[in-house]
Amino acid sequence: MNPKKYEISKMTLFMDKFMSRFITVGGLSVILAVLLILVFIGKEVVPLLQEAKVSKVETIELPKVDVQAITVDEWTTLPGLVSKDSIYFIDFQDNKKIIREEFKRDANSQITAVSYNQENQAITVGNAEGQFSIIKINYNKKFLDEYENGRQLSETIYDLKQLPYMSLSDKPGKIIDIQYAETEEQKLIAAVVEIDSKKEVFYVTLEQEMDLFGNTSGELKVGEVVNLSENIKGNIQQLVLSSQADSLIVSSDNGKVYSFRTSGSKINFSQAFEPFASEENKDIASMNFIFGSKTIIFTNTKGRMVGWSMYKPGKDMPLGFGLTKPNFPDLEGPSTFFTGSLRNKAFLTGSKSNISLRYSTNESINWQSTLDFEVQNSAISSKYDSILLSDTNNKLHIYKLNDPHPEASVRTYFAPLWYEGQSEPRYLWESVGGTEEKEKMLSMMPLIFGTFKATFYALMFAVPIALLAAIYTSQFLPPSLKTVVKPLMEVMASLPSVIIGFLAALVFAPMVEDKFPSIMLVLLMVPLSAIGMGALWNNLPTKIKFKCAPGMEFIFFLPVLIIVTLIAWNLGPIVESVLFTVKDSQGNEVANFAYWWNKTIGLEYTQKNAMIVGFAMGFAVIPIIFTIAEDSLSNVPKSMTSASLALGASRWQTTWKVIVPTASAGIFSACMIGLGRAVGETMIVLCAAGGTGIMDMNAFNGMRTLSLNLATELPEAAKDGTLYRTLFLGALILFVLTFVINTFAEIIRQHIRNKYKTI
Amino acid sequence: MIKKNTNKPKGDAWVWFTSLGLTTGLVMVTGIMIFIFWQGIAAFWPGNIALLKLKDDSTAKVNNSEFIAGELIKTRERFEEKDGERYPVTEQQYFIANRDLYNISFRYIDSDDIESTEYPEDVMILERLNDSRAIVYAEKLVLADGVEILKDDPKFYETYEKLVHESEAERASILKIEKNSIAPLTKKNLKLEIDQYPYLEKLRNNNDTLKAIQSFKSHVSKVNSSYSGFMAYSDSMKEKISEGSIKDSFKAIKDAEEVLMAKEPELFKAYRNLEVKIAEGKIKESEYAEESTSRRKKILQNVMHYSTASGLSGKVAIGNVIHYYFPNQLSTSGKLGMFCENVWRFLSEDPRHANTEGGVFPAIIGTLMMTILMCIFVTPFGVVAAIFLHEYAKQGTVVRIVRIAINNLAGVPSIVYGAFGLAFFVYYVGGGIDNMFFSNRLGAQKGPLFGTGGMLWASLTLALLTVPVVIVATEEALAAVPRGIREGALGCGASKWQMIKTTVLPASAPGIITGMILAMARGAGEVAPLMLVGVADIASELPISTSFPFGVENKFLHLGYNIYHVGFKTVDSEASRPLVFATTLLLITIIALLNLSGIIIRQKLRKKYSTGAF
Repeated sequence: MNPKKYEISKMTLFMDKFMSRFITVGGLSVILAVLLILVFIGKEVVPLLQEAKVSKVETIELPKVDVQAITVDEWTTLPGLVSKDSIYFIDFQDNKKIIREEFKRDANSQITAVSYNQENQAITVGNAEGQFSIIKINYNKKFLDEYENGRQLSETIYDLKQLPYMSLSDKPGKIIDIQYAETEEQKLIAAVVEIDSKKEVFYVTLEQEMDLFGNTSGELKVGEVVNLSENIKGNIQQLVLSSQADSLIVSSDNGKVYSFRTSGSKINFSQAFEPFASEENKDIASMNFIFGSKTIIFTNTKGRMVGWSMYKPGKDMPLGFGLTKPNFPDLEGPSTFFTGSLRNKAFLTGSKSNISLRYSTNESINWQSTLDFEVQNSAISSKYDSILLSDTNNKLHIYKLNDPHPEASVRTYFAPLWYEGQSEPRYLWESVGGTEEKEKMLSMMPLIFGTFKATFYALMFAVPIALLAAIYTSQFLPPSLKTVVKPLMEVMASLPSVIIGFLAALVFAPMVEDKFPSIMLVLLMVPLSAIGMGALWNNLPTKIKFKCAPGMEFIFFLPVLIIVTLIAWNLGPIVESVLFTVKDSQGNEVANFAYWWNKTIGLEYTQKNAMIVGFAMGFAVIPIIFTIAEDSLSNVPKSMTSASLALGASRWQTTWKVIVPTASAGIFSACMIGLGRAVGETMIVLCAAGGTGIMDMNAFNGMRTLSLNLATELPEAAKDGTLYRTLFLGALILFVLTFVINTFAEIIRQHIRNKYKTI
Repeated sequence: MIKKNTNKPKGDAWVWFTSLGLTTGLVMVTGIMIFIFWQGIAAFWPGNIALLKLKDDSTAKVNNSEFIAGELIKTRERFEEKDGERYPVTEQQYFIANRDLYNISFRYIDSDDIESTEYPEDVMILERLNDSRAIVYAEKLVLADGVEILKDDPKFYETYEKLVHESEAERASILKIEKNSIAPLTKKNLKLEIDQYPYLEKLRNNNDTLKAIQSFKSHVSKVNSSYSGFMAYSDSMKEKISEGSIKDSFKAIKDAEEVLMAKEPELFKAYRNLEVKIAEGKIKESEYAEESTSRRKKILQNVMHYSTASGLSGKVAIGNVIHYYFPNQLSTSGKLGMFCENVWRFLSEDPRHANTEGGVFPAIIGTLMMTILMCIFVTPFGVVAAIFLHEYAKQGTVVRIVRIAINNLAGVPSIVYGAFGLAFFVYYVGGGIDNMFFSNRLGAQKGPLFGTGGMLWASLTLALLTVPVVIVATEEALAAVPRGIREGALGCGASKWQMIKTTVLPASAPGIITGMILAMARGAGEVAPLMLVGVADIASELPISTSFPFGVENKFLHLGYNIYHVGFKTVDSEASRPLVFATTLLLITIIALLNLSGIIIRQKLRKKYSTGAF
């Protein structure tokens, strides 16, 4: 006897082992891969909430310079330090060579004020004689190779152009503060001048002659000169001029600031306000415009920081500054330096060696640190990728700034923000369009609200129909018909949602646009007719009643449904003329619901609205709720039904008092799963919801849902940009929302299954 | 006293109330199906064209003419307010076509405004290559040689038909040239340019040759813009040409060549050879292109002049006439024939005029390819995962949680999968592949190959979307295999894998296949994720190809997306609505067929394996 004969073939063992391994590894990896979706989407979102990264690149020893401002080119290759008499360029392309360029000045007069406007790249100097001059810095990138850009084939060069000195006014005085701003239309100077040891504020327009062809050419000349001092009470302290050259702010030592607005070449006093009215310490230590010049950041001598923005308090009220950003964290002390970014609403400020990078829109701190030197002046490169700091020991510190998503924070997404120009803090979504200076509005709330609004209207319509159908199908319908009816209802689930959306938006919406009263009547009369029909039938003689076998009601009800619908539909216009008549602007009586709704209730009425979405989503949600609810109703043990019927309960009593309560948890979970489906539905809302992110529950208005937002904006969003990641935040919310809802429903279902096992 | 039996069971009225739900549901589903079916069919049915004579004061006039011709679309009632009273007005909507002349495609006309209606036999419907439909009267033919044939000429229709047929054949052969000769050349040249890149890169990274190669490259491109394929010209030819306007560039090229040959002869020779090859390709390409343009020009030389009912006149080159017919001349059987022809053309033709005219053939191919690819990806993975979960994993809390999680993934919105597909497949995996294997392509700035949406990523995304469906269905099928079968197999000495392979899998095959088909049906109807990972508005290439990477990198057209795009994103979406309805019907038919085949396969397999069950 050969014992080998009874051995298991090696091949079999090998195959078994191999397949066990293969299936285990394969199965685990598939499951892991599927679950990794959440992780990966999360990974896309995480960088949004990360702090800015700032790392030191190098420190450069400077000659002894009293640094007044720092200039920097786009690529941080040629920073310049502005002192009172010259500018020192540091050429990083040429071994950090320091090049000094002296400002021209009149032999016998000292320069007493210097300022630098980074947006216009202009230095303005003023002297003790009341004269000023503008020095334009032009940074140029010269490409050595004109066909391929991007590669290191370029060099940055600067070009200084100083305009001749001009006199500010007839009365000579010492200029102690001067600012310059220009736009395409206008060039402005604002200055504080000390005349006879009294400070006065001057506003000067600069004019340029035009040649025959309308091109500006020739020399700049002082145009209008306005002395604004009489509007200002107290001792003048500082002034700031907006880069848009549209407003001038002057602070005085009584804690008040005075704002002036320009229009054309005129300037008008517009508003006086106290930035720290509610604080104990009202003294203004610093004030600066941030990018876009719609918001000023004030700090007081204690380090408290607030932001005032331009806004319209009411519909017909004039534009003015208001305390819109009161929530900034405090600084350690009064702000000693300040730079705004030229890309976004970020700004760098601090007190001595404490430094923080903040963002105005969401009043958050993107980065902060305590340095081992005292900062004197600062600059952010216009690409928002490096920070330059000069300290009191004549050193220049260069930092690399990596803050890809400065505007992102929890507050940005979930808190109401007072955006520039808005009359109150609001939740808004407006991610594209507008100019660079416009704040991006990225609140998730209108999208979440819209998602739930669509879901609410969908469930309002779908739940009653689906549940009634489920009760009827499971309890009253003959089993032979059930096998036909159930798949027929499930056919609805396999309808692609793009088809439903298309039909809803292009066929159904125009059809019902002006027929709302008709629809309301249908919704009202059909259920009433069902009950009425039941009551009527109940009172019919038994003979007739026997004609309809139990469980065939739904077929008998069909003609009633059609007739009642037709009647209600045609009654609509009559009801409309009775109930919804409103006088139009010419005094004619108009019977139009949309008009009435707008006039009487004051809400909008649009063709693509929540009602249409709700109805259309019914097609997607009804079959899901129906199937699951029907299952759980059918799964109630037969013994319970029999017991109830045997005790003399009618079939309705059995259903309502025994079956439905027993299956209630299952019915609930069916509704939850329907909810999950409605939350994520994309194509229907994309077609039929309009897409405006308004937060109201108005049934006749559209909405913007998370899914719609993803579908429309993600294909256009730049990879790894803030919008891209914000959209992934929306995806994450959607994912978590549906996952939680479904898990909840699933746990309930499993719980019931276990419960029934014991019965 | 015994209470009389009233024979009125308590609450029967409520039973009627619940029947409302079912009736409404059934009305909804049958209603929408019938509506789609009806509209889809109607899209192919050739309707009669009515010539209306309008009253003098009608506001519906077009071109201020009393005549207007069009196909009746619908009749509806609207209310008008006059002197405080409402009275109904019946109005009819006509499809008047000729958007290029009228700027509108539809017109509402009050019934009261219509003085008379007739159906002239000679009204012609014209489908044009680059324009929307036209409803016209033929006027005359102007042939290439200047001969004019008037409409009343007995030879008119004969000639017209002959010319249309000829130009159709010619168009087909021009298309053949473009597809079979020009397209491969373009592709080859693209490949050569990519191959050329590493040499360029090396020459550029060398400080000695940087300036020379830059100058060489820029001047070659300058010369190419006036003399395509200049580098492939013979030397004598080059000399001859270079006397003229490109003298400086020619000299610069020669100088650069000298420098480069001196410094890096090997590299530059390789680079230059490729440049010459590219130039040769360009010459060949332009020869073909010339042929196709000249042939196209020829068929555009014959022109038909026509006028519309409202008195405007226009003309169309015969080469641009796709199809024409006289709807009012058709008998019922003729219409039936036309109907079938329309269906066939819808299924087999490419879309025209920004998808608003023509057929949906590429979209059908795109949808089917995507569904099949998805199925190929999803089935093995889903089945393996399910077998693992059900047969191999230790049943316990963890597996229960995993099971619930997978079940719930089926309920995660498809758009989230789309977003994931974009971030992971397209940008991460696709971008990674491009960086690793096609860095020359990226360097040569020829656009990403895999790092952009395409068929492969779309089907993978959908596979991920449908994998929970397959897992759940397979697990259910596995669970339904009786314990007895497993124990029997094990009792006979089978190993675990043998048991699964020989008994469990065959017995659960119907369930698995059902799951697969359900997944396909779901995948075929999904549109939202595709918008992020690979669907195209207008695709030039089919997502199938014989050469690597087999077309899976191409963007594709999809029936579902076509519905959205044509229905919402085109200029004259109302005029193309019949096309959308036809597409809708087609998509539903495909999904229904998938579902049906699933049911049939399941039943067949069930019968086959029914003996296997105890």
